[in-house]
Amino acid sequence: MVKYKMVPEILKMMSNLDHVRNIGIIAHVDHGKTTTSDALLAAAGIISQKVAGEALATDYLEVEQKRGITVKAANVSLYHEMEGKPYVINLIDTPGHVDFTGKVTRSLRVLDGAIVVVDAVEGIMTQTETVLRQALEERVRPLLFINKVDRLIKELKYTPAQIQQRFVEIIKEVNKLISSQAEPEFRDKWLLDPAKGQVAFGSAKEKWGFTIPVSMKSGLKLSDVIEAYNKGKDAVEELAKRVPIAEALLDMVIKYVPNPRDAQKYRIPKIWKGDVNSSIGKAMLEADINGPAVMLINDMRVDPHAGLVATGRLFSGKMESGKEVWLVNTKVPQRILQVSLYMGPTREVADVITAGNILAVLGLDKARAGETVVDLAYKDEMAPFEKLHYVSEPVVTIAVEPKNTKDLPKLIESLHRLSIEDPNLVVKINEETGEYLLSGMGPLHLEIALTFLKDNYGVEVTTSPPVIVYRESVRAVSDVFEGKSPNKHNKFYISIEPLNEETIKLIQEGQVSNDQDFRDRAKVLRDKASWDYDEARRIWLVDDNINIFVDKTTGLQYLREIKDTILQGFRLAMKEGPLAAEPVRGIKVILHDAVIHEDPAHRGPAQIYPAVRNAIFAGMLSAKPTILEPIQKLDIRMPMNYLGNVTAILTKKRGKILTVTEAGDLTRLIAEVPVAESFDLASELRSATVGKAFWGLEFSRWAPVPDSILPELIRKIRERKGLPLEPPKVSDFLSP
Amino acid sequence: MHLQKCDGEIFFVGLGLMEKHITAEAAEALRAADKIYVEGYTSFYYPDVYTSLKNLGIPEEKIKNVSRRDLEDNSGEELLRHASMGNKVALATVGDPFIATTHLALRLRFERYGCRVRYMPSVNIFSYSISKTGLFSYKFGESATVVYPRDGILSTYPYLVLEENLKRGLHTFFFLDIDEKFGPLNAAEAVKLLLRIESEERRGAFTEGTDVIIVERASWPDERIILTSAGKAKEKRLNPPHSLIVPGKLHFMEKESIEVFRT
Repeated sequence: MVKYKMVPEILKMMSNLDHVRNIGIIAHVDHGKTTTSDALLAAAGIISQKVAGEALATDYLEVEQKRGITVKAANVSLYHEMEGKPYVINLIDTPGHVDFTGKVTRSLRVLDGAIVVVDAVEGIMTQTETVLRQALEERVRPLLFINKVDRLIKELKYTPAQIQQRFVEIIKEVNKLISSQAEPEFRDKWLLDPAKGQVAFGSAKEKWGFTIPVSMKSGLKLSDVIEAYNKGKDAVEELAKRVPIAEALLDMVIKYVPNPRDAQKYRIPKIWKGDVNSSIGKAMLEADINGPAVMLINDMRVDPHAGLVATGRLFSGKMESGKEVWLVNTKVPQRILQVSLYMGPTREVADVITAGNILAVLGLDKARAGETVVDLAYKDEMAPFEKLHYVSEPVVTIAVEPKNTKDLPKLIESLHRLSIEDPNLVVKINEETGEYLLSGMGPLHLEIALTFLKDNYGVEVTTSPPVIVYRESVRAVSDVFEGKSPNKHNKFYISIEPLNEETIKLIQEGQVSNDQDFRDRAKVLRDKASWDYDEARRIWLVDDNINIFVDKTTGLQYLREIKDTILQGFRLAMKEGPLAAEPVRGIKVILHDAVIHEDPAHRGPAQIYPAVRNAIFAGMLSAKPTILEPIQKLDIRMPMNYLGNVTAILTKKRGKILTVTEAGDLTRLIAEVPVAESFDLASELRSATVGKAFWGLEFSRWAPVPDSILPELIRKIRERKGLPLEPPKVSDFLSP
Repeated sequence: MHLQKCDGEIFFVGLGLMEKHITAEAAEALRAADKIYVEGYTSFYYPDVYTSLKNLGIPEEKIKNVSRRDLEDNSGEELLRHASMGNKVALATVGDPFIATTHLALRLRFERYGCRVRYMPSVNIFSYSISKTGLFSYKFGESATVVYPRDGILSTYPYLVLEENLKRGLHTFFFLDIDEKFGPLNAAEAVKLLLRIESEERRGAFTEGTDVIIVERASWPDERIILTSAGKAKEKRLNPPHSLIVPGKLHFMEKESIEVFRT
């Protein structure tokens, strides 16, 4: 039954880690993550049991309710009793839409276990796969909830045997993913065994659900469930009372998700790059309450009343108001103003919260999601949690303008807030036109941001048609080019080559990053991406767009003094490439030699930037330059007879079919489609399959555009940007 | 762009530090020029270059300002094009065209194209300061520019130059940076920057007790020459443009000459 608990009781529980679990719910969009969270909330006494399934307490933003999908991660601490013992379950609701994968990854860092929710009819979808893979990478233990079982009964009229068969198929598929993706030491331990109660079946919306042990104990059979549906609403409500879903799920979590202390023992070495034998490392392995305070922020958002709220997990020590802390990435000291725990969408103030728990703090206005916070006394010893790596990169941009000019300050303010809350939204100003440019992970991501602007900040905007963000890259190794400074006193000798796929992947995954020890980085690059060790040791910078600057010079006087200026010149060149002023991606810039004027007055930024840029651009233009376009992966299921229609659409849209498989009665097709061709993909697919197909789209990779359309595409982008239509030539960057 | 062989003439004209420094030779060249390009981004002039050229009787339409972009990024393309058409082109520079901000790269380029290049020397801050203070020119070592920190980095080069010069008892002449945004570097600020480098390098080449000579608004009606310690100099209210000298080992006559400037 529902227990109403007060903050002090919850806090007391939180200080005993045997009684704490940190979990999240991950799922494909619309598979019922939010209804599942709400069923749990209802049982925990946060909202009334009656409204769960309809009220969507975690979807407290109106925009989400309208769309029926969860946009923002919300956190809640739940109270649950099992076998007479009390537990606190910190639950982070993570978004399920493909366009927001960055947030999911960020949330995973602070969880120890995850309930994977799968629609019984649709089965495992792309996003389920993607997120499950990410969870396993972060050593988050997965459990399974097969949701919407009522659909098998009501829509498909399945017999108990058929339902069981469907369950087996889904569990098999999930286990296949676990055994192929989990690290060897966890693989066998984490394979799901329904007989042990590691899989739940039910309907979150109708609030019933059970595991096999529960059904054995209560004597419930699948035929009873079917019968309840035949009888009607009252019988289903009765079913929900007999086998409440919350109890099945929370019992499962308590039994199989490790407590934070046990979890940190094997998770810290994976998610933290520092020395586990240091005092901080040991404190985190033990979730030591008396250790130095270490918090990883996974979410930052603007609260209209409180200002910036940081949410995250405390891996060691205690957090309380007044505490002096250090932001490891931003490198500034800050003071904690208030500490709180979550109850539904609201925060409740607490005096102190201890290691192992999820908490919210005020006062860290310089922090952003992904920041590591440490006790000020340990500021010089703390290594940050790895730089969070995102599978997705912004690929679509729109220009926004307020409908009413007087709303401009409000628009600027709200865009600023939006980009703090969702780091995957990038806001930029076009310096020439003064337009505000908003970039996101896909058309829908931007659409939601705009609705959010309107509903939460009351700003009505007009927008330009969406514009694809491209990248520039090279496909060959260039000669060494000389870049001269305007005053001709400084010269840089630079060559360009493409980074290999392995290197790009390592950077994307955060295994190679800028703030890594240069020896460690060199080792990784040598072992995993076949770099020459000495060359890898000479990396000066790994930039945000996945480009690398290597210094191969020896014994150059004054080089140290202009190193940062050279790198700034490199960054500027990478921001807007030579072909179409799009960001550069995946190149290696090698500095071979330089002539540097002795006197600093003759080697300032105005001299160095153009010199570096000219050499880089000349190199790029002679190294088979090309434009990369974002490619989306389409995962679509439909009745067999529509395959032809769908294939025809994909061919028309430069799509590439990867696999076609049978999945029960349906045909599953996986294909790649350029984002540039997919704006009206949804409506075309719907009409070609008379609405009988369901699909997911997610960012897949950057790929060179076909050479046949390259010149025309370059011209189009240049025209849009008001640049001369013809791209520059190598000779334009060589000094007379 | 491929230019024809240059048939014209290019004059590199030094204007000195103020109007009265314009030599008869320079005035003649300026009057003879079909077009005068004034390079004003590296220094300051009294009263100002435009007025002074007008006072020479040069019509305004012959004068054009050139920016650093024109001369550096575009390598003086416009001057070269003009000269190539057989014209006489003057590049008028405050001070001397080949001291401090050297226009040597331009001269070499113009010569490569076959232009006739002529040079009209004039008073410059370097020789003016030496003469004015009475220090012996043959006792100066390398010179350097004290620059504003860029990208958060303060160049230690001037300190290294000073240190080497002092080891050999030589005087050091410092040019002071001019920044598009921040304007001319004040000598008091320059002294602070040198002290900051000292606090990091800690080799005692430049301390609060080090004597410095500040040459302020050289040759202008409100010129000042100040000899004082670095510790006092950094607190002084000064009026740029400036240059800065750190004397090395002083001959007794040099000493007598500069002591009159002590404050």
